[in-house]
Amino acid sequence: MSVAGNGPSANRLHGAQSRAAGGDVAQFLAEILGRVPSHSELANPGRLLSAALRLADAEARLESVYRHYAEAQFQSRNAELDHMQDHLDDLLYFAKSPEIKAEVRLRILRLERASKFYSNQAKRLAGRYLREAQSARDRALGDYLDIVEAGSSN
Amino acid sequence: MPDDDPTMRRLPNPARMLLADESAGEFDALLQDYFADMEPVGALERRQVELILRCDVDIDRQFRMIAQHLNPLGEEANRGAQMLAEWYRLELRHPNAPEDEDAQRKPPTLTLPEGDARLTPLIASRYAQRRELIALQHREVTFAERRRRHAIELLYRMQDRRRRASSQVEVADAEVIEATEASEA
Repeated sequence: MSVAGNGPSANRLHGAQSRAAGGDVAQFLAEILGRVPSHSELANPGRLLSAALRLADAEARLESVYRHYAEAQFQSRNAELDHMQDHLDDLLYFAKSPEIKAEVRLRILRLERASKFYSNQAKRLAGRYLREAQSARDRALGDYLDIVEAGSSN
Repeated sequence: MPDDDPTMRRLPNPARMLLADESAGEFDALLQDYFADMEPVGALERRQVELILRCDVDIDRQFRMIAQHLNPLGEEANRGAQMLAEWYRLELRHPNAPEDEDAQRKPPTLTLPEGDARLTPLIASRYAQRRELIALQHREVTFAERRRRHAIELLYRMQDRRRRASSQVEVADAEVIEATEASEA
């Protein structure tokens, strides 16, 4: 039994729950600070660098969530259920019994409804993840700006 | 804060965020217009302007998709019904029917007349078939508009902070100069 976060299921996490790519975080961090921080700075980050790191992480996560959101917008069906529908379609041509054919026809139509339902659910989820990631990023930005302002007024 | 370098490459490559029917060139041109209007200074403000533009792209995208869903010549909504229709067609076909009949059955390419009121029943029928999806997209438009308002507010707050900070620096500099002149006198 795997623990969520380090088992194989961790790779399937997406949206606001997924971990942002390290390269993206480093790129955002350099952009926010205007320079690449040294390893010693990263090993013992001060308040400003910690806030910048949190902001960079939130920005990278927002990017990844947004990509997922944009892709989900044009999907109006669930690919896995469509695949099952294809199998049932094949069965319709190969089955001999009229009862089985009737049942297959019924299931093809039921899967149609399920495919749209799960696709719409995926869209709703993508939208929710985007709003969560955006809020997290806005909070991180506010914290970073507070620290910058406090630092410049001291 | 990093120096404001107008040539600094923007972080998110727009091509990663755009869909196949959207142009990265148009996005860039629009972004330059937004930069000219909102006058961002520094990487963080420019990023904020980019997020505002992204909300506008989202809103436009949702309306485009709604229009496509309501297009009477759009793709058939019910894939399962199509499968069954094809199966019935093959079942009921005469055994001696020529094979190339399938090729002849392909519908001709049609174009819609613009502003024809006779299309309304067809559009209403498309709406009835996809009303849940369309409602979902209207909801996303509302959320995108909210995100956009919030992003604009945040940009204005950032710009206010920056102006306040720079005016404080100017006042402090002026006090130093006055103090230096007084001591010299």
